[in-house]
Amino acid sequence: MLENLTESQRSAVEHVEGPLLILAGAGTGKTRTLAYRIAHLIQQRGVLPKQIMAVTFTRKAAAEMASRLRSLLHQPSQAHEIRLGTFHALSGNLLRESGEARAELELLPESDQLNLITNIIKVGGLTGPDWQPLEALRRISLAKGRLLSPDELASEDSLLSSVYRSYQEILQEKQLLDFDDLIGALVRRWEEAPEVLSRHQLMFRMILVDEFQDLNEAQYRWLRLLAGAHRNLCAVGDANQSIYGFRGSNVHIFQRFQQDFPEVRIVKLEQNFRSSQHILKAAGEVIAHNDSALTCKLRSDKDQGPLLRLGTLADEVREACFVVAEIERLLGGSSHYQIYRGSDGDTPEEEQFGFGDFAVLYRTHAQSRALVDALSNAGIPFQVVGEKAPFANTATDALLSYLRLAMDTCSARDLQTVFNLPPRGLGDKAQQWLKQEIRKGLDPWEILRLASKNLDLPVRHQAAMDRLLRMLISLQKMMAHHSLPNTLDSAWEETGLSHHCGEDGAAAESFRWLRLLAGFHLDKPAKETLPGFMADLAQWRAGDFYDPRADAVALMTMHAAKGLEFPVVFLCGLDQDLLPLTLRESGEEAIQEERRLFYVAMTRAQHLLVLSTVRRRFLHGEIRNCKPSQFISEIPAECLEPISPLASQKKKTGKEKQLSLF
Amino acid sequence: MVPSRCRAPVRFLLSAEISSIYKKNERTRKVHNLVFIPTMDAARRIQAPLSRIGNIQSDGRPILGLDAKELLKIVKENSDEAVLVPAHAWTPHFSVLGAKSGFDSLAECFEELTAHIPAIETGLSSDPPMNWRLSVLNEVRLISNSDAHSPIKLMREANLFDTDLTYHAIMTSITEPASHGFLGTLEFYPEEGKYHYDGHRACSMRLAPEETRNNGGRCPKCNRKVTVGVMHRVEELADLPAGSCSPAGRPYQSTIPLMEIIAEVMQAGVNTKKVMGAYLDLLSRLGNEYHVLLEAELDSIRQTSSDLLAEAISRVRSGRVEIQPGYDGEFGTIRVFSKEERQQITGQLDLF
Repeated sequence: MLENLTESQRSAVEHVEGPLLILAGAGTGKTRTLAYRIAHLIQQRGVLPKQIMAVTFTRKAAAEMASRLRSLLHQPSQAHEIRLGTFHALSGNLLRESGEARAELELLPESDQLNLITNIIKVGGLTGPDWQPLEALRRISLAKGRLLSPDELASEDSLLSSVYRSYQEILQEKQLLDFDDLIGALVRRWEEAPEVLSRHQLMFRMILVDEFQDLNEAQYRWLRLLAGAHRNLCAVGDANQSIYGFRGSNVHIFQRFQQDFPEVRIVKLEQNFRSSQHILKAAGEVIAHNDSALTCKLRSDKDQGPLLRLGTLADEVREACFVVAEIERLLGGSSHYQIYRGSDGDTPEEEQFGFGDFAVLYRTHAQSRALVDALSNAGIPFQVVGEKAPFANTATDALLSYLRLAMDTCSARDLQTVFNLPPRGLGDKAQQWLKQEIRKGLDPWEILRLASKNLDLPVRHQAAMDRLLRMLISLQKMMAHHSLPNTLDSAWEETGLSHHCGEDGAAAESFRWLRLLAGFHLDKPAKETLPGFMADLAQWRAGDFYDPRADAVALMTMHAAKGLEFPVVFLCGLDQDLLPLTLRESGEEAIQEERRLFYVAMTRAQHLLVLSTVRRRFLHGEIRNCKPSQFISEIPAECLEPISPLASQKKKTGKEKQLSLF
Repeated sequence: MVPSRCRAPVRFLLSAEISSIYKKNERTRKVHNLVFIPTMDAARRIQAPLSRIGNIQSDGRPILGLDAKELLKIVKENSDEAVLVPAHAWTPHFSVLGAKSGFDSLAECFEELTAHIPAIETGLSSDPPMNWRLSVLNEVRLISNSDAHSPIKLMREANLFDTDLTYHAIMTSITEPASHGFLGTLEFYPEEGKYHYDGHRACSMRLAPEETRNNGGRCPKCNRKVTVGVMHRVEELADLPAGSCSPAGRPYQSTIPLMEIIAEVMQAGVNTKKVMGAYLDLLSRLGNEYHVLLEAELDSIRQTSSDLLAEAISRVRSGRVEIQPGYDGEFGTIRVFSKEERQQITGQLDLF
């Protein structure tokens, strides 16, 4: 089984007892090595599948690992016995199993999180950039990542600590956890109940963790506790790919692992199987400007490959046209117009490409606008991999609120959400009345039931609420007998949301995703599967969605591209004020993190890397003059081919005229 | 603008052309397909999944990164009666059998769904006899549409039907091998098409398939790869000798757009006012273009225009024209009369 591994991959696979640190550079087959290691432990070392825990950073990575294991294991079904998942999912499971927590841990949906924090900020009268709700949430999340309680945070930031405190109090009152709480809750449980910890330590003899460089304090503590007895902890990561400092990960975690587990064996995977020589050389030289310890130097047996192409364009519109022209060039034209423009119709590269072979990466989402316009105008199919989960939309949020209301596991907010959505004549006045009723502490069902007897209410309001109540009752019946997908279909129609959304493509698209995700829950009535489904939804991340049937150019941030690979990669907006982008922190640490991000982005490319920078850029409402990023000058000149952008300098004239075919 | 003699009720059949650009078996494939759809409702059903895959609103011919076979699947799943037909099946750059980015057979493209392809469009650069040289194509209908992306080019090729004018009747005559409703096609002379021969436009090199083969597929002038045309491609894939007939083959009639004939006769450019004037004049006196080209008495043409034009149309009807074949995106050029012949005829009569 091990013959198709490199020597160092093999020594990582064959290591059995004791801590192991695998320093795995980009494209060195780390997932493969992890999978082989798990298979080896089961098949050669007699470890039971259920004694193995493998922690991945995303659900997608977990799913990929499971599918690899199914094909590696002699008994594929064993793959399902392995405890495989994200920190959050595993924490949720262990908390549930450890008994004391409620059987159905309920998670606060992200949108509710935002509402909650917005309210707290408003009540506190806080203003300023730190009190943008998202920023406040981020900072609370960071505190949770460090396992700080509100009290412990007080000495650092008393204002944030008080917001954090109110936030936690409300969660407690509603008996809810937010996403970050899952990990901290389990760590606390282990610390408070050593018998639970030692039971879990006995359950999992072998612990493997991927993307080690992205761990925050809480996650590290979690691992250290769980692996504390047998010390069979295998960590895989690459310090050069640590790009989540803003989420609380720390590049120095590798040294910390060495200190806490001094007997650790270190294996380096440095043979890259992904990128051609020019790309590796360029990326290697760039990252050498960082001074981090415990990193890998990549080498590869692949061919030289083309030089990196560097376009310097006048502005972001021309930059986008440059990207389009490059894609057309590599495809050999996507329309007759393109073929006419090129003189001989010869595909310039040996390689053959489809749209799915291209990725366009940028530092911030704001850059995507010009790119989206240019690609649409050229008729090139593309897919923006967004930050928002694709099932999240006002209409689908409302649909879920209906279901929660029908389940009676609702909050007053659910009733507020659906009260006049779709519109049923319950305008501002009625909403005000609703708020009063909620303040009285009535639950949603009581409010609706009492409304029909409330003589102070206008008759039409009474009637509207009565209809709402009856709809909820009918949904409740449906959920007792029908599966979740069927329930979603019927509810989408019967609540009138479908009609209300009409031609709204975004809403329909979100509903399609919701429906797709619910597809797994066919065998039981919705009543039973809804809570699990809700918990799942809270955990799906935007990056997990990528329509595989669509062969399309992928647009995404450099962060979102982590872990992916593409034959051709464009890195746009390599301007000094965009990359490095140092908004929150400045100084060498921040520059180094941005350099790692650039390194991650560069090493996504297999065959060709195309870089671009502009002289002027319209961004965030103003035109700025730009200089090329300092990182470009860190690339050896012999790897770079500057592109004369003449062809793409023509001012964009909107849609290119389509010539007739014959 | 439309002369009253040419006016007739117009009917529409829902259809669309979709460009699929994708990678299959390690090669970039670019295939254009036509989709015929029975009802608006069916069109909406088909649009729904496609709009999730790409932008289908942006262009007259949307580009999708979708395998043509997947497209066929989506079409059929959403409407039994919808029909997918590979468009201009032989052009090098954008067709199912094209030399540049197509396949070597329908089956390589559509796999187990190939049986759901009832027809192919021959395109301007090929005619039925060329297609009859592939035994596998003897099982599909060879249809011809104008592929007009501008109104003046409407009806430059056409299908002839003897059916009710309903979607169901028209499609059945295409999809049912036993049906007699499909009578045949009106065709370009294939040489006139842009990709009939091989060649390299930048060097003005027109090559017959034979010449290309002798020259190793390269341009004799600049030694770059030539664009392989339809004739060459047909010879490459054919399993039957030239001149073979398909048992299921339908009759066809080759012709040349009337404006081009007038232009040739008047020795003027096709897109000139002069030619357009003469064209409209002829239509308003005699009737629609196909009537003039195919049916009108030569005498009445002679009386309304000139001996030269009547003679030209007579020659086009019987195939007595000389065409320099098109290549690498250049249209073929037609010559109805040699210099001597022209002098001979015009010597006797005034041109117009």
